[in-house]
Order: sequence, then structure tokens, then C-alpha cells
Amino acid sequence: MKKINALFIFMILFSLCSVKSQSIFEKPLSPRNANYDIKVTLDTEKKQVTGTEVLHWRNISNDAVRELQFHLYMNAFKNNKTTFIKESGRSASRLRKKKGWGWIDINSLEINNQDFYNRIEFIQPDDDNEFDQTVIKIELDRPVWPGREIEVKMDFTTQLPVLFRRNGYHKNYFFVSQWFPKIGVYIDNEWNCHQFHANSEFFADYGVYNVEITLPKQYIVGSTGILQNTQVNEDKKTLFIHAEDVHDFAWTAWPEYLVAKETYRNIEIAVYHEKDHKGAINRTITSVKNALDYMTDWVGEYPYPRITVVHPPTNCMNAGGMEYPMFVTGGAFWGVPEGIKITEMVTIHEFTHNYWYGIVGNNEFEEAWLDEGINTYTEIKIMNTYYGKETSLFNFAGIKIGEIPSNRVRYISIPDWDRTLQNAWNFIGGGYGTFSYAKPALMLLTLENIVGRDTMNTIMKTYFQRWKFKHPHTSDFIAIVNEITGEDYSWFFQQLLEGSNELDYRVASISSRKEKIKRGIFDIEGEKKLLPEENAEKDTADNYHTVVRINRNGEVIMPVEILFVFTDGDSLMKKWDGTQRWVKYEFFKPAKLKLAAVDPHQKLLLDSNFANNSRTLKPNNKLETEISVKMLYWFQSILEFFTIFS
Amino acid sequence: MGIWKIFIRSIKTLFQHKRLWVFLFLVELIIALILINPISSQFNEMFSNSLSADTILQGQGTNSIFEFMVHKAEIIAVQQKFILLAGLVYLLLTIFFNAGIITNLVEKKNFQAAFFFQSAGHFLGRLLRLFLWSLPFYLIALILYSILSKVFKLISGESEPLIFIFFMVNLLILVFLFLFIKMVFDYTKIAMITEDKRRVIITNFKTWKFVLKNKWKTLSLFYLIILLLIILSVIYLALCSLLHISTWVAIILLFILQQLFIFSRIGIKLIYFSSLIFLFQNVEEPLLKAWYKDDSYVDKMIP
Repeated sequence: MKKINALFIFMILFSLCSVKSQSIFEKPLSPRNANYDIKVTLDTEKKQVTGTEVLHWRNISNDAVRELQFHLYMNAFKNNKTTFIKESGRSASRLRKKKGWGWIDINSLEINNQDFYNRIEFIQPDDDNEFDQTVIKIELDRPVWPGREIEVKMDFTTQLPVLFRRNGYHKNYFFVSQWFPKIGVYIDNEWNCHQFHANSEFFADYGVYNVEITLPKQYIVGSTGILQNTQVNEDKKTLFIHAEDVHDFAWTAWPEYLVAKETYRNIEIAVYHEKDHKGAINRTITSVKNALDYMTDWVGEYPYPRITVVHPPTNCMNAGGMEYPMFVTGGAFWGVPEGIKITEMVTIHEFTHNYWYGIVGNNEFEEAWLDEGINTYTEIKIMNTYYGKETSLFNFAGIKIGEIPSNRVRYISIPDWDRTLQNAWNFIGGGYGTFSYAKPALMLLTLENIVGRDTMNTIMKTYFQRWKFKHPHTSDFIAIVNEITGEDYSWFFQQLLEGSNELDYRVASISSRKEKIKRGIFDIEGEKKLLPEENAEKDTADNYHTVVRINRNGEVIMPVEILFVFTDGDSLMKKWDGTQRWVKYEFFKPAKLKLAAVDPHQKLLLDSNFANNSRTLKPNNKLETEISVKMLYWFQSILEFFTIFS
Repeated sequence: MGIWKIFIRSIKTLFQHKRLWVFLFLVELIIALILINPISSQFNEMFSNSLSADTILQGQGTNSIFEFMVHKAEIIAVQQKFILLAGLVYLLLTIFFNAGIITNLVEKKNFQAAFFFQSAGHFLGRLLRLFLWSLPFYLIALILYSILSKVFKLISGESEPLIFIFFMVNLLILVFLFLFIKMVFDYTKIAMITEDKRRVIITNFKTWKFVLKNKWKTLSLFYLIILLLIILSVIYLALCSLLHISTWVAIILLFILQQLFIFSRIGIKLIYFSSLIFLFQNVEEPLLKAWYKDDSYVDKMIP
């Protein structure tokens, strides 16, 4: 009997252990130095998450670490004086209006079973804002030596804010991210633990997450990781979720979620949506499949067994368009025509963030371009491949918009307002999107045009393979570019990442006139001869004298090609290093110049004005007429519109 | 007289007023020509000597249009203000012309500038007051729209299809109300001119009564003309869709087609006024008989 009892107890223990520790990967993919066991309960009435967190943190640096730093991101939503809310401007009024402030409290803190609660100290490493409580510091009694691990136990309560910037609740809908005390990254001999900013995303170490969430049983939950077990107890249920080699954990809960699933390349694609967004399921799954195909070929395999895509319901779009490991939020709308690729674009962008941010874990606070810029570049390539270069974003009602023009517009509106390489919260108003997304994406496309597609593919693959599950810097990317191309491209990145200058080449002037015949005294065969000779039949020679001047309007210097096309069909290409302000080309040819074009293949996608890159000798009368005809009609119609109710 | 007969008669009337038709078309054309000059010259300056011109002509000019909007943002902003101002001026001009149009149609006279402008000037003050009096009605329609929006929002909850459907329904209601108000005020214009009424508000209330009393006739005539406009628009769009390639022939054909469409729209405006006059006169004939039998309506009208 005792044996049976012992066996029974063993089986229960085994099953419990197996619930919590079924591993996903045979070998760790990452250093796994920040491992979390979190047990929480969601109070759907109070909109609170309460529970405990046990963190096992290993010091993987070569330093003795004498203090710990944690993010308490949720305190960003605590009042109107936090750095996040101040930086958010008027958009944050939603919290005030709905009295939906959010916060996080640590109720107890033990480190290696010793009480450290009184050691908690709020710090503001970025702006000394005394009202900002998004970072804490805990001084240790004894340092954590290199390679050693400590255990941090915390009880915490998180009050969710009203849904704002991918966090919080709306009625019975919950989107829960940045919700638990999260340790910073000890890197480059110091803690890297920034405050939560309106324009910053995140930075964290990799680890294993075992998360138990208890909530009313009617709630459907989507999250990072794999659901390993569900225990139902009366009207509550507890979900056991496990994730490996990730650096964050986010989840969502809503009773009305519908879930569509499909397995592709051994990866389960799960789409969480509301009933009105059923039309987006196929579009979403196809987008993920396309992205998976492209990324696998391009840089490497998606290592996780699952990707969850959440389309937030109507009125919850504040949760849309965000990335977390194995878990992203998109954006779907009822009745959006196929030609409007908003769902595809957002899904692909957020999914590929699992590569650039998720697997290659750069510091989003300090070098946002490494994920947002590279990821926008990736998005453009995938969208252009599957939906056509001219129509990748929009192909509806006769209007076609591609990804590249849309990113160019974003950039050329303010090309020299700011630089790319800086902390995310320091960008000029509205500049974060332009200089972290559009400009670096166009920069990488330009680099691809310069080094060639194959070389660029090798660069990206090498970067991914070398830096997966690590924390690369900009210099690491540049080093790979230099290594693969065999050339020093520092000049390129210095100008485009560190500098804020504009790139603009222009065909300043062109002329092509009949060459004058020789006039005056010329030394011919040792004799002085007066030319032209008497009775010369014509005043001009057979050749045309062509003069073309190219200007570099902007401060950015790039080698550039210049094409000259002549009326006899002859053409020639010249290369200019662009170092001088301008360059003049002269030709004496039997044919007149037809046109001159600097960067004729539009390789330099950061050139802020493509229209002035070429100049024809004769104006295009057809265009002038067509535009005038069309404008005339539009203006006549506008005038009539004004008089409808006269 | 039946609605169809009035409609056919109005079309016939249009061809009796060819000069008026051409005059209105030319005025609009000239103003539009003045307006397009700044922006079209900027566009041509930017693109006519550029290789981008070919891309635009091939119908792939989205990128170039975006770039034009970015690089010429200041000029576009000025142009927008200019258009707004010109639009308001044109609105006043149209109010002025409306009197001329209605008197011309009522009088069944060929277009004569002196008569046209004289009658237009005579009624300008009244029509301006009428225009100002119409604004609160449009405002009420807008208020109703926003109230209905809130009601529909409550009904539709968070269902996206319902939100969309109710939005469209509400929009249709707004369009219907706007058009209805416009129609009533156009009858008021006709009443004021044909009966030489000076009291705007009283005349307007009377025409509200007239329209509501004859709602089926007035509405069916109104929507018959709207239908004519829709048919013309569909034909125009269908023909435009055939003109894809930017050859010289296509550009010339496009110009002809667009101007014909504009010309037709002005023609429909004349048909509209004409049919309203016929219906009004038809219903109110006993009142108006005396006007036309005795002496010239204009002699009575213009001191």
C-alpha cells in the first residue's frame, strides 16, 4: 500500500514537474541568464494582476555586480508627471479622462531568501524626473560574481491602465505587457536599465519563462510561449505557459476571442481575432507564411514552434501593431478590400520583429534602428516580393502605392531634421518614426543597390547568424558589412546614421549647341593661318558642344553614376565620387544631347528629390498638356462643388 | 402636366438657351484656367524636363505626386487658400447668376448679357438673404446627423459591420436632407423671382408648404434629374477608363470628354432649374397666369 501511495505521489509530482518543465529546445539557444517563474491571478473586476515572481539571474559579465536594477514599466501610467506620459503629450489624456491610471507595486522582495524590501530605491537614469518610478535599484550586500546566480523573489501587484499604448484593459478585454518587475541588462560594465519613454521600446536578457495565470475560466488567453496545461477549478482556470530563449512575456485575455490555427513548416500559426475580423484570417496566415518562407531563405529559420498573431477588436486598436517574442499584435478591420494591404503589412512587420528584436536582441532604447530600421527594410523586401513593388501597400480604385515611395515620403519631408543613431527618447517630435524606421530602411536598400543583392543577402544572413540570441551594437553590423564587402563602409554609415545631412544630387544645367567653327589665327604646319578661309560654306561645325553640370545640393557625399543619352541613340555612363560641390562634363559629338540623368537607376533611395535627378533638353509637352487638362477638370469640379448649395 | 412631360420639356428648353449654357460654361472655364496656373506651372517646372515625366505619363506617378506634395508643400498650402477664396467668390457669383438664369428661363428669352445681368443684379440682395437663411437649415441637418451618429453608435455597439452600415445610412440621410433643403430653397428662388417676392422668410415657408404638399411630384422630379446626372457620370467614367495610354490623341480626347462632361453638368443645372420652374408654374398656374398674359414679366419686375 505504501508503495502504491509512494508511486501515486511520485506520479503526481512527476506530472506537475512535467507541466512546468517540458522543454522546447534540446539545447539552449541563448545564454538564458534571466529566468522567470511567475504565478499571477487576473482580477477582472479590479483590473489587477497580482502574484509572485521568482527570478534566477546569472551574471554573464566579467564584473562583480554590486546592485540590481529592475524595470517597473507599468509605473509609466501612474500619473501625468511620469516621463512616459509627459512625452506622450495629448494622447495620454485618455488615462486622465477615464481615470484609468496604471501602476505596479512590489509588496515584498527577497534575494537569496534575505529580505531586501527596504533597499528598493527609485532611480531616474535618463532625466532625473522625480515622479518617474519606472526603474528601481537594489544594492546588494555581497556582489554577484561572474558566472554566479542569484534568486530574487517578489510579490507584486499590477494595476492595469485603461488600454493605452499596448497596455491595459477595455471593458473585459485585457492586453497585458510590461507587467512584471523585469531585470535590466548588465552589459558593457554597467546596468542598462532605462526609464519607460513614449518613444522607446525595450531591452532585456534571454531566459526561460514559466508563467501561471489564473483567471475566470471563460477567458481565452493568447501569449508568448506554449500553453502546456490548463487546470480548471470551479469558475477559474490556471494556465501553465512555458517559453524558452525569449526576453519578454506578454499576454492577452478576452472571453470573445476566436482562434484560427494552421501549421506551416512545423510552426503553429495562431490568429486571435474577433468575429468581425474573420475575413482577415487567411490574409494573416498567408502573410505569416510568406514571411516565414522569405526569412528562412534569407537569414535563417524561425526557431520557435509557435507564433501567435492577435488582431485586437474594435475600440482596442491601442493594442495593435506591436511585437513580443512569439506573440505579435496586428491590425484587422472589417470589410477592408484585398488591395489595401494594411493587415499584411502590419502582420509581416510585427512577425519579422521576432527576428530583429526577438532573436537578434539589440538595445531598442539606444539603437532603435537596429530593429525598427532593419525590420522595415525586411518588411519592404517581403511586401515587394509578394505583392508587387508598385502595389505592395495599396492597389485599389486605380491608385497604386508601393512601400518604397511611402517610406520615401516619410523621409524626404524632414530629411535633415535629426540623426538616426541616438537614444529613442531624444528624437525631434515626430522624428522617431522617420529616423528609426524609414531612413535606415532606405539606407539599407541604398546599401543593397551599392554592394549588390547577393552581397547584401550574405551580410544580413551573417548578421543574423552571428548575433542571434545576443545583444549587438551598430558597430557590430558595420563590422559585418565591412567584412563581407571587403571594403570600409564607415563613411557610408557615419553620414547616414550619425549625421543628419541631406542627400540630393541635381542636374543643374544642360546645353547642347552646334560647335562654332574655328575663327582666328591658328598655327597650322608651322604657318600662321587665318580661319575660316574665305568663302567658307557654313558658320558652324558638324559637332555639337554639350555641357552638363551636376550639383550636389546636400551635404551627404555618395559616389554616383551619371547617364548621358544623345539623339543618335548613343549613350554613356560616367562615375562621379561626389566629393566636390559640382562637376561639369563636356562632350563634342556629332549628335545633340537628349538627356542627362544622375543616379539613373535610382539606387540612392535617400536622394531627397528624384525629379531633379534628370534633365531633358526638350520639355515633355505631353506631360504639361495632360497635367493642365486634368487640373483644369479638377478645378472646374471644385468650383462646382462650392456652388452645390448656392 | 406629368413629371415626365416636365422633364422632357425642360430638356427641350435647354436647347432654346444654348447661349446661356455656353456663357455659364465659359465663366467657369475662365475662372478654373486662372486658378490652375500657379500649381500647374509648379508641377511642370518640377517634372516637364525630368525623366519622371515618362513615369507619370505611364500612370506610375504616385511617387512623383508624393514628392511634388512634399517639395511644393508651401505653394500647395497657398494654393489651397487661394482655391477656398476663389470658391467663395464663385459661390457669390453663382448666387448672382442664379437670378439671371431663372429669369432667362422664365422669360424664355435668348441670352442677352444686359438682360441677364440686370435681372441678376435686381435679385442679388434677395438671393443672398435667402442663401444666409438657408444656412441654419443645413446646420440643423448636421446637428441631426451628429445626434443620429450617437444613436447609431449606441445601437451598433462594437460591431464593425454595423458601425459601417449605420455610418453609410446616416450619411445617406444627411445627403437626402441636404438635397431636400437645397430643392426647397431652389423653389423659393423661383417663387421669389417669378412672383417678385421680397420677403425671404415668408416665401421660404410657403415653398416648404408647396414642396411638402407636392412631395411626390417635387421629389420624383428632383431624383429624375439626379438620375440623369448619375447616368452621365457613369458614361463619362466608362469612357475615361478607356483612355489609359497618354498619347496625344488620348490627351485631346480626354480634354474633349472632360469638357463635354462639365458642359453637360451645367446643362443639367439648367434642366434642373427649368423643370422646377415648370412644375412650380404648373401647380401655381392660377396665380401666375396674370403675370404672363398681360405684359412683359420683366417690365413688371424691373423698375
